[in-house]
Amino acid sequence: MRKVLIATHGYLADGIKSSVSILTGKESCVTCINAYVDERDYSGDLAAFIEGVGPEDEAVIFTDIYGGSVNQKVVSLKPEEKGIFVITGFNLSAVLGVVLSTEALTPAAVEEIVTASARQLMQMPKKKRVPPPPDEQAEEAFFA
Amino acid sequence: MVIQVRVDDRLIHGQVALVWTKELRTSGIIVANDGAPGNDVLRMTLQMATPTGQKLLVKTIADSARIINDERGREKRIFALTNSVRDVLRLVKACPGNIHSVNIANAGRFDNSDPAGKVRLCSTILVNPDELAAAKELVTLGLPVFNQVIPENRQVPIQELLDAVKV
Repeated sequence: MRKVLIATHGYLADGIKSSVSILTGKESCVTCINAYVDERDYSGDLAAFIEGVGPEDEAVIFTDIYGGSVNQKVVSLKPEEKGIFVITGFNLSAVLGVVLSTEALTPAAVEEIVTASARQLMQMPKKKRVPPPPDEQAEEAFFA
Repeated sequence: MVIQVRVDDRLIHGQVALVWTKELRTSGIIVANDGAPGNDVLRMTLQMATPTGQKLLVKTIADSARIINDERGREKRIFALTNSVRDVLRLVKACPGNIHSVNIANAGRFDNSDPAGKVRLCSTILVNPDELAAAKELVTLGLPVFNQVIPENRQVPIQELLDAVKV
């Protein structure tokens, strides 16, 4: 089973889950940790997620910012020892990529999702990206 | 073969193209809209919303029908979009046998027609009198016509929604 944990400072995790739900309806595999919204120590929740990942599961932990305390805590629990991928500085595209991927989550597949999503962080307008004019050439390419 | 024409008042947006092209296993997207081919900004945003690996054509309704009825079009698995029920009706009538189903997903929220004259068929479909007439005609054409915003939703037949509002 695919298991996704989103661990963030504040309610970003819940917000991302809400977006995933609206766009895909596949939010049931997503667990959230909204750190520091109260006095609760979320370390136990992190450990519980990692503990709950079995050998047959494919698991990914997203953290909001590289080097942040949430990211540090995740890394200190050594999730990689259970084959859990950790992605930090995530965006919605990366989470959707993992949730929607129909392939097995191999290291190469995860790397591809990370690379493709990272390209989507950009300043706009980027450059003019008008598709080719509606002519026969475009139609030929469509059927090619 | 057009596996599905989706009616969406936002055309290609967010992850619609990604989610549905995966679900339907289609490799080409046709946006059928008479105003779009001449609108550079719209064509640019449609291209942006098209997932990697998917081919996009932005065509008038008449040109879309020509491509769908083309022999090569009949062999390819195509996902098509219109932004109104009226347009999908025109497309279906122009492509007999080459469109498998119609999904009226999101309609009528941004068409600038008088809100007072609109009927709500479900949470994502609002129809003005012209769109309502088009929907009523569409369901008589013999192909599946339903509402399904995301693949996880049940396909709700439009006939069922029309019956429920008794219009």
